Amino acid sequence: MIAYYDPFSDKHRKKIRRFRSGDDLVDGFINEEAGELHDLCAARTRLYFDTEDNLVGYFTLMPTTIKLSEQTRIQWELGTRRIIHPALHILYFGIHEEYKLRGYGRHMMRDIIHMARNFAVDIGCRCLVLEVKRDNNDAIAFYEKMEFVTIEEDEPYNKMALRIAPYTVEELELME
Amino acid sequence: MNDYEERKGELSMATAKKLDQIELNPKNKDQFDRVVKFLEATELPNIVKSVDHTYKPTPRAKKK
Repeated sequence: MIAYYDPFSDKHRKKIRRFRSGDDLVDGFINEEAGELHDLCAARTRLYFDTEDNLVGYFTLMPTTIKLSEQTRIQWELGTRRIIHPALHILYFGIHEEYKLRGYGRHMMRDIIHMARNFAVDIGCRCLVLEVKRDNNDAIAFYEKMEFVTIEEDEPYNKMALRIAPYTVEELELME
Repeated sequence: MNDYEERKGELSMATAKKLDQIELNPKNKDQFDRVVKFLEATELPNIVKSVDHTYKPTPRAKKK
């Protein structure tokens, strides 16, 4: 079970070195680039730990804008006037291979959705966006399960997005 | 095009559709604004299916 998260920090260096997701890009990023981007506030990384303090996964987020097709804008009820919309880019998302298929990814993604909905209230955010290798069927299946849809097909990466809905009136009242 | 129609044209499709089902006084701008604000805030999110209302965000690590 996921117990807590901690922002990227050198104090977790040993655990980060042992992190193996099965994807060299994901493992290389957390070891070589994440720290610098995090310190510069150019992209922020969260590390997730279970009840025994094992590093089970991480994600890195940065704000972005995204050009949406007319069809997507209509489906997502974004109106037809504005083509470019604010979004949250999931730059990297990785689960340690020993902890896959235990619901940790879903848990982390729900935290990202929660963050994005808060951004939507404060600064505007209409979707989550990420790039996934076309042949990474497991990752694509996971994102589709989380209701992401493919908005752009390219080689070697497809672009997927999840519409972020604004809070309902009831939710906003609860927050006040 | 009158002012009412023009303002309706600026809304998202979902809000405009809901607005069509409500009888409004086209001359009452305050009423229009209030209703639109309410309708926009109640746009049904498509993530409702995947979001469990018992969801609690993961806590941040306690400082040791």
